[in-house]
Amino acid sequence: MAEEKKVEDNVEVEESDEVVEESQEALLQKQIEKLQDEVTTWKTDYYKVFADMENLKRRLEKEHQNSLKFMLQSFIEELLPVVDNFERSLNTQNLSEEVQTFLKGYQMIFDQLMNILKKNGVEVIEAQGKEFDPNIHQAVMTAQDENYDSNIVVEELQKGYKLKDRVIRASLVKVNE
Amino acid sequence: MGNKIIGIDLGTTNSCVSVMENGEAKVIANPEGLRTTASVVSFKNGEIVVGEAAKRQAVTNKDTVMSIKRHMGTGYKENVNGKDYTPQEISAMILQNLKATAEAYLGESVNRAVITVPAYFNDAQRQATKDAGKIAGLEVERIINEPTAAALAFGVDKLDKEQKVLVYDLGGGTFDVSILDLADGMFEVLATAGDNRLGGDDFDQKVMDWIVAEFKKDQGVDLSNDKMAMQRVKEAAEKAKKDVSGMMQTQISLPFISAGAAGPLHLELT
Repeated sequence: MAEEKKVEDNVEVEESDEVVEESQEALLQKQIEKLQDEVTTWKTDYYKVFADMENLKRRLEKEHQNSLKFMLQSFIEELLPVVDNFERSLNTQNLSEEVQTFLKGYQMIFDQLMNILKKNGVEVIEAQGKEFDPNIHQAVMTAQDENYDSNIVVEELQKGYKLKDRVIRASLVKVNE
Repeated sequence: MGNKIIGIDLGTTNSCVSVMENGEAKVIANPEGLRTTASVVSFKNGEIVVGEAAKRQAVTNKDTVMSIKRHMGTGYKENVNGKDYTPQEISAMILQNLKATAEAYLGESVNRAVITVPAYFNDAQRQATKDAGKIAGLEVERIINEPTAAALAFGVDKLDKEQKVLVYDLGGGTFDVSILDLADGMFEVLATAGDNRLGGDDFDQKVMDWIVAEFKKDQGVDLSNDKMAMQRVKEAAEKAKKDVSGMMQTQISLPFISAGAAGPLHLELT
């Protein structure tokens, strides 16, 4: 079939209306601006979220380190009264020789316990004869003792303990006025 | 991003700071690892100490201020080393400490806060609380009634109906009861009453009295003259009180509490 295929040139494309073109350009320009705005918003949001995440990461890491460091705190706090009572039993006076021999063994068990605590970061707070420090000592009463300077711990009423750098129980002390 | 708002419970005996995290209030522990900070301010050699360390020196340092909240909104002045401090200024020192705790935790500066006050606080007392915040460098976005904050914490506002709520607040030294009306997500305090000299400490005292009486009956020894023994009794009473909040009964055991003629005496009660 010799049918002529007439390729009809699209006149409209070549002779495109200038007004239409202009408005299209404006439309595109608008679209670009809109997209640019959107990109800026996304970018700021991204930086914000990123910064928040970084902060969170740092905080969680710090918290994690801290909870690891003080993992034993509540356990040791509960154990302290047992340590106190152990010491009280060792300080009992006027015992027969037989009981005293027995007590010697108990002292060894006590030392064993204290060594384990020490290995895990527990430290006895020094008080007797030291200057009163409210960060580690709790004043429960005052005294007037000429043998001591002012603000010196005259007597320790209950031992205080530290776990690493944190005071888990302040010493109860009597302070010279 | 430096725009976090912290929530502060500025209490008579203890204070607490928190921040919203994923839609939940999170209490921030202070550097000592405690979730509450004693509302105590101490002055020593020009230095200001707030919290537990201030409380620990109360006995030896007369320049220690406690329970300043009771004086909020009055013309009361606290004189320390010849200088007068208003209750707002003292409270601001506590707020500053809490602010620092929050900043250390968040890793950014904080300058906005919401502070709770008792429902019975009048306008002067509320204004004084706001002023304290301002002195501490905190823009107080809102003052919230303590019972309202408590109700919000329990999600009462999420219940989709109008209702009245009764809130009890038994603190260390005060007891408040409030009735709130909740409608359309708004709270209104209908009535509030309380006893500002009744608190958990009184419960401890009752338990202590009982322990001492029981021991006297059983052993014939009066512990109340022995300061060290009483300290232990106090701690045991506090612990027992906390225990029975969650259990039907508890054991109080204080070995070597006292020494009688026949040797050491132990205390064991259930």
